[in-house]
Amino acid sequence: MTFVRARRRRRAIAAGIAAAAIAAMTITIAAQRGGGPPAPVRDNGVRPIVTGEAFIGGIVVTDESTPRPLRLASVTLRDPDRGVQRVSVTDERGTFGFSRLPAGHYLISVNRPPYVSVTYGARTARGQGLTIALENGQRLDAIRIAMPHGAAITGRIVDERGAPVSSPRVNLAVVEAIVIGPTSSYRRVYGQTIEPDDRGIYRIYGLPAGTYLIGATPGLSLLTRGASPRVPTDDEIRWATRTATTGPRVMAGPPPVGSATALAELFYPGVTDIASATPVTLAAGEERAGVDIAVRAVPVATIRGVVRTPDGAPARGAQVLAAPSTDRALADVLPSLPPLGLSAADGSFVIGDLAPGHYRLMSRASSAAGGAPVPARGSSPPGSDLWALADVDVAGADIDGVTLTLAPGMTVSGRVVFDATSLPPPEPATVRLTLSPPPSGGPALGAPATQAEADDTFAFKGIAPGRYVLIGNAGTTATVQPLWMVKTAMLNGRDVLDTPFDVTPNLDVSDLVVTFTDRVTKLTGLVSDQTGHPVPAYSVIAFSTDPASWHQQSRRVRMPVRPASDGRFAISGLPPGEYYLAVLPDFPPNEWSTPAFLQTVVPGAVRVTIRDGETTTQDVRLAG
Amino acid sequence: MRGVVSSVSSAAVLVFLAVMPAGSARLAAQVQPGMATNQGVSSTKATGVIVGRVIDAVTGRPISGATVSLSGAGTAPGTNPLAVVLSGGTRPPTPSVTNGDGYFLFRDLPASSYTVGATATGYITSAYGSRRPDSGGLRRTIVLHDDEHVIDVVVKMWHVATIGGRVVDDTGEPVVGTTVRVMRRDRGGRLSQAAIVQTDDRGIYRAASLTPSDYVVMVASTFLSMPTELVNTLRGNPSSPVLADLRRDAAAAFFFPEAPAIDTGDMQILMSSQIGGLPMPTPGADGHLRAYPTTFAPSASTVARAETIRLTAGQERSDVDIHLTLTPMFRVSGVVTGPDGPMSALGLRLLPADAPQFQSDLNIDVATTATGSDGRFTFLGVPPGQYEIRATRTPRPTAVARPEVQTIIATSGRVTGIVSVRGDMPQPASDGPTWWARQPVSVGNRDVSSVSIGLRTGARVSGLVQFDGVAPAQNDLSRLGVLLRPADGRTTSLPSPVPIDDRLSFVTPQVPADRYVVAVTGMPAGWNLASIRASTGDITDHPFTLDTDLDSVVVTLTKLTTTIAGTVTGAHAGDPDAVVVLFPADVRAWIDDGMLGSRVQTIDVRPDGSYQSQNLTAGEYAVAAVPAETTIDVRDAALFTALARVATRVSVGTGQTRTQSLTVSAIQEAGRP
Repeated sequence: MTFVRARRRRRAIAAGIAAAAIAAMTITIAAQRGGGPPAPVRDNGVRPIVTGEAFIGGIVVTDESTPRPLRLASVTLRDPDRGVQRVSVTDERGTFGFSRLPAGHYLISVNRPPYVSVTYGARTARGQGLTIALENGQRLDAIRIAMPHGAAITGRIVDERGAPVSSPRVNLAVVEAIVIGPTSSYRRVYGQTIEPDDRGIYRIYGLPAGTYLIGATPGLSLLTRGASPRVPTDDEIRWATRTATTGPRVMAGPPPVGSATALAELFYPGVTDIASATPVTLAAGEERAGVDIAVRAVPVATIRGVVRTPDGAPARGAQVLAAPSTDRALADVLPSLPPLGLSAADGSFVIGDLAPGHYRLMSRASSAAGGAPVPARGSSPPGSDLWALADVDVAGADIDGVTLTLAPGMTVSGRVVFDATSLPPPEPATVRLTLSPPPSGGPALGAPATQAEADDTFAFKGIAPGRYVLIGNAGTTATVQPLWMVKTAMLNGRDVLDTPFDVTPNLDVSDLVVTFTDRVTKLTGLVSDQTGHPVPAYSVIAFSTDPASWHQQSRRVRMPVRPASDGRFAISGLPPGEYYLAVLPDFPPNEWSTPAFLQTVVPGAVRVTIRDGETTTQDVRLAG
Repeated sequence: MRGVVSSVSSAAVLVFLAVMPAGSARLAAQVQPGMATNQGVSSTKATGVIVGRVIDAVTGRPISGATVSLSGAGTAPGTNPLAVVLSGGTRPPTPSVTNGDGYFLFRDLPASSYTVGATATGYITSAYGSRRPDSGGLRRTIVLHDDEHVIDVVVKMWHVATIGGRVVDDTGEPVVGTTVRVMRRDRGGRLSQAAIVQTDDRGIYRAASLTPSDYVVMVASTFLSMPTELVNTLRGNPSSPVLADLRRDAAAAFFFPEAPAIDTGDMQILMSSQIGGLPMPTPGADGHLRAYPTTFAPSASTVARAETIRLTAGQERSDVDIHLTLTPMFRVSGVVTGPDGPMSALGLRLLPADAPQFQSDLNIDVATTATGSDGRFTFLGVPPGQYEIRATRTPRPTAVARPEVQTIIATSGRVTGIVSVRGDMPQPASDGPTWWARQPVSVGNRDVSSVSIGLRTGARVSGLVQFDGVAPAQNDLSRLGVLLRPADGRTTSLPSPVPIDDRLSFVTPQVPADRYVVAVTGMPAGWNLASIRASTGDITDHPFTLDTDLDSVVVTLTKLTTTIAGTVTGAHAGDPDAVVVLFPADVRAWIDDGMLGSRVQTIDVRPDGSYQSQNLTAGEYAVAAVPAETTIDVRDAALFTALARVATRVSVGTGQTRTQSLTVSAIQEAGRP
């Protein structure tokens, strides 16, 4: 950890200049509509493309001893805070250029398979890129981006008999193993899974040099799941064929049924524990063949039961999902979908493919038409307003006779209020509210996000009892920098923004008042070396001094940001309070919000106080 | 009424006499075990057993690890069990996986009728009764009684065929990560997507799920652009109704004004258009953008010049390379005028002139754009060729939420799963007009400007549904819908079924002038279509040209079942090993209208030699029995012309059952693989 010596300087600015400019623009739009009744001006979120006179250009070449220009590379330029996203494609000479740019902070990334995608200025393939601080009218035309050729891994997936296994029975995931300080972290490289072909052969390409694990998971054919298929035993076959020849009525002692199996989730070369997996370490552009995985079947169980409506009738068309309630080591890195069942007309459901473990059965249904998604004609359907939960232990044997009795969900309603000091309030349709179960407590039934209505009210319907945290956003989706932040969410005189609130059975929650403010806090500063020169190489993290707030969902732990080329950083929208600010050479991609990691950062951090609606400046000078 | 001579002891010698009316045939159905239906046999016992093997049809070797599923009669093998449950059906038995000797087993089965389907890695999905690798629809029905053990159920499977190759550009470099579409070419020459795969870092692709047929292979290029001024009115407001209009107009859900874009000044080329994974256009020295155009293997720009690849079962082709050339792209621009002057913010599609050769016109757009505030439009990225500009503005849909059950799972405060099951209800049509235009355009080696497009209004069909007898309760009508289907049988993004209102009347949305047929979907259980009549005559399954509104259409549903049934005599005694093809007698008209499959039935002949149609509509039919190996492709005009020559004509009225005995006739299969 870099030692940080802080020089404290505070400055408060009432309202940002950018915010004032946007307010002026919105008023212009309203004026163009002209003539109508004097309705309050609301911001519909529309943000035209901003242009200017600056230019960024350069060349894309191969990362070889004798570099070659690369044509047809897609160069993407982004200023997320100002909503600028432009593409330029390199020509025969590998050159690209963006003209008519406004002043801003720009990130450049290049995509050109089979080369490794590159973010300009990033110190590692997955690292944060360097933001270029560009002034209006400035011309920057010597950006040079060298692309390393991607590495490839190929191999074959076979079963216990050596026969090829292909998609959809099995899919693969590539997991990068990243060791930073004491933390080992695993990050899935592709968003999508990799499908072995009909010969069981797979090929993963375009990988940066690094250390990788290959995981195999059963196919995610969510909708075709039912009871687990069984392989008949030899006894069963003998019994079935013999009794047939001796007449149809001979039913002497049928043998026990064969066991059901499903493919196990595992890692190359064939282990279920991620820590025992054999890593594949690749140099730049290396091709590694023969990374073969033998998949194997494990015994699985089936749960059968019935779903009933609140009045005891069979519920048809109710969804039943079995979510593993134990934290599996693989859950974060391997794609998985919980097994799903759907209740039939008699309310019965079947869920198969359950490996031993603890599961939470979760059911959702609509009160219309006995549970199925069939509404009464001419009326608006109530949606998924019924719920049921049950915890089940699976230990290999099938479980029959589970009864899930649906109960009506609750309504959580209220209104949004805009504490507007300089901006027109956003239109209700741009307000997005989410009720989220808190970070601890195993799998829980979530709720769809909702929007505010035209009269600024909102309602979540069919909410299952439990603890919830409210998350709110408002305004345009064209920019990342928020113009509005939630200030308070008051329920019965208590602010429930950082502390979860309880929804109890048979009791609707009303009068939840969510207040947004345009006085968005800002934490800015300069990262410099001992001589005062800006240092844009490291990332900056801000997090609450209160360890109770150290979790991924927290508003008070912000993902590290990298200062721009001028060494300046800006973090917007932190709630008022005490924070640690620290500079990091690198950070684990998934674990940066965990208490274990944050604790290691505290000794080198400085404390800053964020005040309501104010801009706080905290420069950081690095000591060697 | 003439009688039926039958012998229950030996099903093979059942003889039906000529054509007979209803009643006696139904009696016959009751006495013949082979004719039992799923509804007819019910039992609370679950003591039946079905056991059998899955084998390689060519080598005869057992296939282990195959997944075998049982379905109720009338349900296709492999039907999603959840879909069956959702539609109110009975949950199918748990699938069985074959053991090392290829054996599968189902036990504790209730007496019923079953079909058996199988899937296995490297094999084409097959079913008990399949005689050819491409006859997935043909399956034998097993009638299982209480305590019965049915053995020797052998399912034959054929290896998949494979097409693979390399995609390279004009410098010989591989084109990486691009989407290759393998299109099956049916007997009528129409293309439908059989496989979609990506090239790897060597430019290599492999599509390995193919049945024996003809194929063409293509890489499709498409560019989506929007006027900058329109982008400026939409960015940052994803719930804008204008955006929803554009997506509906252009059948393009990927209109994202915030997407990264190439800024050409007046136009933005949105990166979200990279559906094919091909690179975005690059500026050329002459000022024109250059890009890879849509290319068919080996290097053709049109379907007509594409190489046809004929595959037999299990055949592997790994030499189907595609050569892409960076080509200058031109602009096609003009103005769209509606009834009130220039039409702004209208989504437009530029389709290749050979679009009618594709079963679906989705995802074959060469370019997509939208008009600006003055009705002006510009398509960017158009290579030289023949095209059609299409405009279709349908009214905004009425805000009826589709019923949906949604489960959202949150673990550790993060959403880890969202599962939605959505009801498929007909949605009422909006009242507003549909504006449409189709404008051919030819592009040479320069920009095309001043294309003038005038919008026309569409036409609609309205009428009533009549029930022959006591009408079902309102609740049973929630899935009943009336639909206009293009007469050529192609899939379009156009109309979905409309519901029936309280007075049993319906109104379709306005549709562009074209040839259509009226179809009825979601009929209540036990009801069948009797007829569809317009003032111009009977339009049941008869395509008509719709260019002005057609009112007072009467759809009549009946509880009566209309059936053609009988027995088939083969060359050998016993199992006739045949299928019966039943199709409208006026086959020429059908061929001209694209051979819609809705009135053509391919019926598996049962081991006892009997056959029976499913839910027929009254009319005059041609019926022929052909060897089970015959490939039945409803778009194969030559086949149906040949079938018509050997077929027997049978006229059947609503509620009638006609019996027709048939003899298996081999037909010429010129040029068949």
